[in-house]
Amino acid sequence: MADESIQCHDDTSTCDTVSSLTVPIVFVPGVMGSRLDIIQGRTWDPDDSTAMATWISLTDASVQKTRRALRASGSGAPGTAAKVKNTLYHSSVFTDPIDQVFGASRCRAIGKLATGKDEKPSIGVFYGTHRNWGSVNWGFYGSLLMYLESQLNAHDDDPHFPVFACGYDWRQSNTISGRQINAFLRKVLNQYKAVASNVIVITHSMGGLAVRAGIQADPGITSSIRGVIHGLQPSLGAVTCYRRFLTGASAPADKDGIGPDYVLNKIMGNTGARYAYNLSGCAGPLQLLPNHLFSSCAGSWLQGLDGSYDLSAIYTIYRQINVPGIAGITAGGEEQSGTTQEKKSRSVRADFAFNIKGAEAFHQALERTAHPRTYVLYSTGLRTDHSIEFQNLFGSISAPDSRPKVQWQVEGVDGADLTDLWNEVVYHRRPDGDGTVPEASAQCPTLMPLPLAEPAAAARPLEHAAAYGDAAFQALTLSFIHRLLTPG
Amino acid sequence: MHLRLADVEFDLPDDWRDTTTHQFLTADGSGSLIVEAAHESAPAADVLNSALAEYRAVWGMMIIFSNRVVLNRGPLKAPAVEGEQLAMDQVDRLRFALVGLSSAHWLATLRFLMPSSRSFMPLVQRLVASARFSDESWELPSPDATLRAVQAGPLSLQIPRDWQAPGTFEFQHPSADEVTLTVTVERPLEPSGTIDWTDLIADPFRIVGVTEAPPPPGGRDWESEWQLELSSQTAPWIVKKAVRQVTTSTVVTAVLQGPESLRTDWAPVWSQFQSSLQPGFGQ
Repeated sequence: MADESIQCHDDTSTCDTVSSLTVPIVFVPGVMGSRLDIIQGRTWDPDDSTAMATWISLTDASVQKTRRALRASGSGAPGTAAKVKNTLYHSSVFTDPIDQVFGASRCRAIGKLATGKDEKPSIGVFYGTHRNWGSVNWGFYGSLLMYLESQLNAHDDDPHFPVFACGYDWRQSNTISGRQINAFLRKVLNQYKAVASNVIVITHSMGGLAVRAGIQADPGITSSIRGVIHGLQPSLGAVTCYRRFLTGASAPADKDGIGPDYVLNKIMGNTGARYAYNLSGCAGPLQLLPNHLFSSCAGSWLQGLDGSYDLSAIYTIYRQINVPGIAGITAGGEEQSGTTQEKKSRSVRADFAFNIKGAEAFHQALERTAHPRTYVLYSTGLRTDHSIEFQNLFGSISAPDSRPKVQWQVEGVDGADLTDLWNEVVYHRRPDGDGTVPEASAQCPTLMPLPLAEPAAAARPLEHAAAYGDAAFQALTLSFIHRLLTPG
Repeated sequence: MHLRLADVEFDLPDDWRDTTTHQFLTADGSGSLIVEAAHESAPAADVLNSALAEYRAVWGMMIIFSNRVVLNRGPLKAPAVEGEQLAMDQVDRLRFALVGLSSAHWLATLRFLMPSSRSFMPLVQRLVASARFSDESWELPSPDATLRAVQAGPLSLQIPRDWQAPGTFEFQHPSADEVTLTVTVERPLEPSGTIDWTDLIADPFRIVGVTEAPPPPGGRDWESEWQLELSSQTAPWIVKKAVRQVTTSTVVTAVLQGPESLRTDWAPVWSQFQSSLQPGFGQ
């Protein structure tokens, strides 16, 4: 790391010397970015093609099982339990994280120092389990973890800025995840209690909501956090999350994408009804819907509505049966894919109602909560869902997957405006986001205290899921860490 | 129905639904065979086409190529698609094969996903040749020393001896989804009366009652029942757990859970399972 950062005195330490300044770095991933062993026989591990293959449902029974495995909470039976994995993915066939960690000279040296052994398995366990890198998806985050570990601990034999990862059960409410993340931060600090008094937290996407929820639920954690860097956080939600209730993971007229995030989204549902069916039991992902503050910061994102619709009361709209409400789409998913019992007891729509109510309470409680030293990173310049225009709301609107014939019209630069001719709905996309989160949301305009410690910083156009894998984005993250290492 | 899981056998009512993820992993975990079955009837070609559409929808452009083929299944034919795709790391290449199967009362899909190699399709052909539904009676291929028989719901088939089969079977009450029974073999013997709650329930809960049968003299078997109060509902929730050492090397763990209001439905099933559990042979 830069010398000037090391030489700055630690404002919370009584021994402000270079050798005494130890600040663990904790990375918190985004939605779907943690590796989970779900007890119903499914493993969510985006690094592992064979594990993810079980999520592709080819029969009705498997579709129903996918929903049960994704269901973390609801109104009836308890949610399906899951454990965050904590061993570094290892395979003799594929790109192997253990090989990569061992091949990175600084990581290897630090691992050797910690374990007393210069061998791959021991160093793999050290980083995978002790540093908890095994809890997050390596494909998205592995290069960031190795980069930070190497850059921040380049000159010391004894690493003063050990890099940890904190995966969590992304299916559950971010309030629960926030408390669990707090416990992890305290556990890390306890390991370094002789030399460290606080940690720096880096978040990706929904991980930002979870960390802020932890602060909101337990303000006492604030003093244990030196500062937070939120990357690509949908602080107000994302229109994409709502749009998928209408179109499924990707709009049918769009060209098929490629990449792991594309596959993960498709697993959540490639039709609106299936997406709603799966998401109904996922409290966390439902908290990514545009919240009650979205329209006041990012403009009217639902258009063509009459004056009776108030976007600041968005959860009332979500609960409506008819579009723009999404409760009806969830009911359609239940009818289409549900088990006999689910249809009889209406448990899918009950779960949705339960978790939407939870999302409303979550955002109203969270609202402006943020750590006093917060930096914000985002990416913009990619075509991102911006608004949805209903041209004939009083017509017979049906979920796109249930109509007899699909017709789409693509207009605008790079197909920016996509019209669903059957339902007369226009999906407006603008190059002002990272492909998923609009910059108006990722800039975190409502966080308090205002202004933020530093203005939000935009990176060049980088895709939402892959941004932390980019060298420039990693360098920007590192520069903010350096700033946080200086006294506040 | 009579079920075999690894080296134990047990009985459950025919109408309890098998929701097990029947995934068989290669020895190094880099490849797998997934079997999905349903109690329905449809032409095998339709089963395949439906499965293929779903498969393509998810993997999208990560599929590099695919070809339709027809495989032998005993004396029958099975329509299939074989091809190549990218792995999740977008670098490594995998071979895949989807196979549609049907009988008078069942349909199933077989899905193979393995690192690319020339031995892929010959292996697929050998395994598909041995796939027989429970309502079929044709004679299985002669035993092969490199393969072993396994059960995947209504389908029996042979897999390489070093492949891992599921260690847990899961079942659901026919008309009450929330009542589930899981049966696991080869778990370490747990101390009497213990349970790993993080394995079972995601919601916050409070234990309001425990009953525990004393272990039999000289035996290590035990059974317990907990009554819980869940944060999400007011009705009492019951968790029953039994651990049985069936042989010197095999431990079976069974967990049944559901609302107390349905006790009259699941209590006989628990008894049937307990009394029928025995060491199996021929696996």
